[in-house]
Amino acid sequence: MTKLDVNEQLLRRTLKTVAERTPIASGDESLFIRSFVPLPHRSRRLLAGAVASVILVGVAGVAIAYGPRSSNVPAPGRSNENAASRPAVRTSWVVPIPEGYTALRGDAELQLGVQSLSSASYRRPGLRRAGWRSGVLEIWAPTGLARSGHPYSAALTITLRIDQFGSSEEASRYQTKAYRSYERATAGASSVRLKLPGAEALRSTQRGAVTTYQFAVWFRRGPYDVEIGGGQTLFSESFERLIERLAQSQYGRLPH
Amino acid sequence: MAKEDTVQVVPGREVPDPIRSADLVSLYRRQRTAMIHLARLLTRSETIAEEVVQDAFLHMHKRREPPENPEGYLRTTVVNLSRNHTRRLRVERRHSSPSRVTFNDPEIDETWAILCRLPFRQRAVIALRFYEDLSEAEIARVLGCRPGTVKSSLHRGLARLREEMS
Repeated sequence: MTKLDVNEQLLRRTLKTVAERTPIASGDESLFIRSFVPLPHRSRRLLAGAVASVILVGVAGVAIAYGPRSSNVPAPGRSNENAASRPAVRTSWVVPIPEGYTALRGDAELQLGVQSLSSASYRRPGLRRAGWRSGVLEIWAPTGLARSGHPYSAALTITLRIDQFGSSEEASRYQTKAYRSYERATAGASSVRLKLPGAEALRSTQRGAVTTYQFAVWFRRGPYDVEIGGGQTLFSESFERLIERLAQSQYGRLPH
Repeated sequence: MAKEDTVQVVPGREVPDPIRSADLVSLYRRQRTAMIHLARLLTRSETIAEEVVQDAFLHMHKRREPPENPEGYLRTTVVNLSRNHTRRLRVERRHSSPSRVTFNDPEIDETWAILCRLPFRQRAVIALRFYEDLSEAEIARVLGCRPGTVKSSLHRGLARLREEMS
């Protein structure tokens, strides 16, 4: 065996601590780092809720002080949709919504928008022959959100809950064809959750303060829910409602 | 997360899965946490560690024949998937900075920071040796390399630790 001439106890203690214990992140990230936090779900949710509340209050204060006024005239340099034009998120949007995107969620840094669910024949000819349709879903978020180690990097995990299968066996078969899958279908289940992390999006494009992420979406019949969120759901809407919203927007197109 | 208790196995009925569901569930219950701990050391991320372990169980499920040593196969799969993730991360890191996680103990912070900077194989060898308590021969099997390679990787990793800690 190789002779160990470093402090073996320290090495073992470090490995055990990192692998099994709860760390304290440094600086401001201490409240947000979700990595290495083996807390019970309930505690984690309570912590996340408390953190989100603090952020929301802070950003609301900043937005009230420096944000756009309630006016029909768009603020200079802003896109066609801004905080003033969307009362529901009036005090939340910090980064201007890029042109063409529909606002989904705008809490503090968790600003997300979706552009379109357009028809696309991205790969998977076998699925198309089997009657599946595909779309491309584009989501934007402030640049840096998906960076490894960013407090909200997990938020950009896209979870598509697809209820498209007749049996768990069929779900399992299709699941293996997905880009990546993390949850097996259980016996008797007809739905399966597929997680597509932001890092595995088809493409990401960075334009200044905004980065867009493009995801391929496969569906055979509706409805299915589109959820955005990692540990917590940040946005959830049925496929049909999403399509409806997109169709109402200037840029949304129905898949065909 | 799929609930374990929703997997149903009918007594006396042969299950056609390559690895029986009951065996997989049992293995999942026994090994998931331990494998996540190992994957954390290898990937340096809890989130990725959980994904890697989930993928490893999927690999188990997709095998045509059950492995002779499920625990060993699972560990090897976790190590391989962690290695794949580390390779991808190199590309991502050109555009991002690594995460900074610290603990309450400065010694542990420093040691972990050095371990994070080690090449994957050296970090994996150290984790398997001093966390999993595997022998060099067992580590060689897990990593798919010769025992001599394990020995040299361990030597280099510890030398780097010693050098940076002094």
